[in-house]
Amino acid sequence: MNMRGKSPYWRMGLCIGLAFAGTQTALAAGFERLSRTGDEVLTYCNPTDSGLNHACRVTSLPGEPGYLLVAARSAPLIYNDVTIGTLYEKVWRKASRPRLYIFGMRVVMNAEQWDSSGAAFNVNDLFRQTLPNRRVSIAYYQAGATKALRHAGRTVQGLNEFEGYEPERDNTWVDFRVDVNAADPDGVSSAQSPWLLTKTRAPSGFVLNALGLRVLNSDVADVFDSVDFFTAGYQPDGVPPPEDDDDEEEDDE
Amino acid sequence: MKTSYMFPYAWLLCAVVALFQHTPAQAAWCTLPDTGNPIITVNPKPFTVPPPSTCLLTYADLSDYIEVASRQANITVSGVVVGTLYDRVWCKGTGTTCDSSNTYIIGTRVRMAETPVNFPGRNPNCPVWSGTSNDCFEINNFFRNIRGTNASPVTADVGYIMGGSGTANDTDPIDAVAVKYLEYTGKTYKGLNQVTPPGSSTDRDNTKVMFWADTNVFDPDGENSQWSPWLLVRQNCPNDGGTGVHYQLGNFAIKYWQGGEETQIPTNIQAQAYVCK
Repeated sequence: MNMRGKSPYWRMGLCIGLAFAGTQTALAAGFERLSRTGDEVLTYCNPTDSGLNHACRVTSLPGEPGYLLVAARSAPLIYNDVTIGTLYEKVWRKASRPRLYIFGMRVVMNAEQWDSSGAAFNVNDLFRQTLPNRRVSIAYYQAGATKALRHAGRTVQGLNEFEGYEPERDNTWVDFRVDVNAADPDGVSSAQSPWLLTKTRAPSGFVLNALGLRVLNSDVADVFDSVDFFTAGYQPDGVPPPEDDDDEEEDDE
Repeated sequence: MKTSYMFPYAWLLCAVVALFQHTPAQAAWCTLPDTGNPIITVNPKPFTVPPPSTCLLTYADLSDYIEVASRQANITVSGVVVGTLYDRVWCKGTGTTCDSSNTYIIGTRVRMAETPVNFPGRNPNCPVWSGTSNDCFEINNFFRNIRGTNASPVTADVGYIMGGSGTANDTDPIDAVAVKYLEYTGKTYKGLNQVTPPGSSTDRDNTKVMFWADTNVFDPDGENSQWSPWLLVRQNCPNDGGTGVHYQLGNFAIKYWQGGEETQIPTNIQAQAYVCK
């Protein structure tokens, strides 16, 4: 009797609970954890810009509830003394777990001539630094961009910078493969990237590193015509500096 | 009778001596080939010391020229100033007047910065410019725009000057002395790890001149050359349509190429520089 009497409420509660859980699942499903060991470095998101592919995709910023915006900035992207675009960055911190952060960035490019070729700057990869010993999950928010995030991985090698299917692992960097160009010769231009989101722990907080982001333009016939540059970006405090080549050689031995 | 014949012989002897005295300076300019393999050898590593006369000049070789333009500019990589460009234009002439030959020399040299403006713990010898490397920026090749096209090349002569009376650490662009020599030059837009001298006809670009000179304030190869030599290209730069303009500041007219001699990241930087009209 009692059970029957309570049944409608129990069912309603169950439905609400499932709906809430489902909502949480749908929101959280966008973030994909990147591997930090093994040869499989890349996580594929939407390499063909399919409207049916929702892998890695979130529908709002920062992609998960419970985060507070703690920093935001914008800065010109400059190459060869020419402003070729603008970088936007945001940092969110989880209210209930203050060591957990989401770092977001997007670039908006223009068609200014930046070298003797006359072509607009094409961004193929955007790289951000993270703590190598911490887990990293990534997602993207389309936000009006024409082209989606292709794939991501913990590496600092981008398009045409490695042979085969997988780049060399480098857990201090997260690569976002995109195709951003205000006047793309492939006929489909996307002047802006999606918001590219990196969720990770930053136990000591975050800092602005003068060389913390890497921008790569490497969709070229001759790999030596690739260009890249570094610019300031937010990152977890404590990312180790690059090793000298001599140190790496000693490690190899 | 004998005396009357002595004068012509003496005159001829003096003329021959004068000719030989001037020959080395005149021969030191290198005329770049306009067809075939584009690159000529100057003084490649391991360097020959003292250097061969190929393309080698001194300031005295510019005595017939007047400096008509001069500027300096930062060399910026990833927002970091890694060096300074010194750019000059000279015309052939006397006093303050360029002569009607329209002969112009466009010359440049660079000084790489030694002050660690950021990340001194990563490299105390220079400003760090990369997020993935602690190496100082190294210029292996300089390229600049010249008159001419592949179909209609314009003769270009190249020379280089190691410096003046100063030292390798001098801060004056005239006095300072380069440590490393010009290795190769030619009409091409390819440099270290892109072409093997002398290159082939497919490597030719008659719109560019390439100077191959290893310039690095703290070089992993153990030999630093904070200054490049003065790198000179001489061409006929006609009066542009009667406007009196023979040269101008051109966008992307100079390119610095770090080709990865000691596994550095291949990087090219382009900037404004003087060009013939």
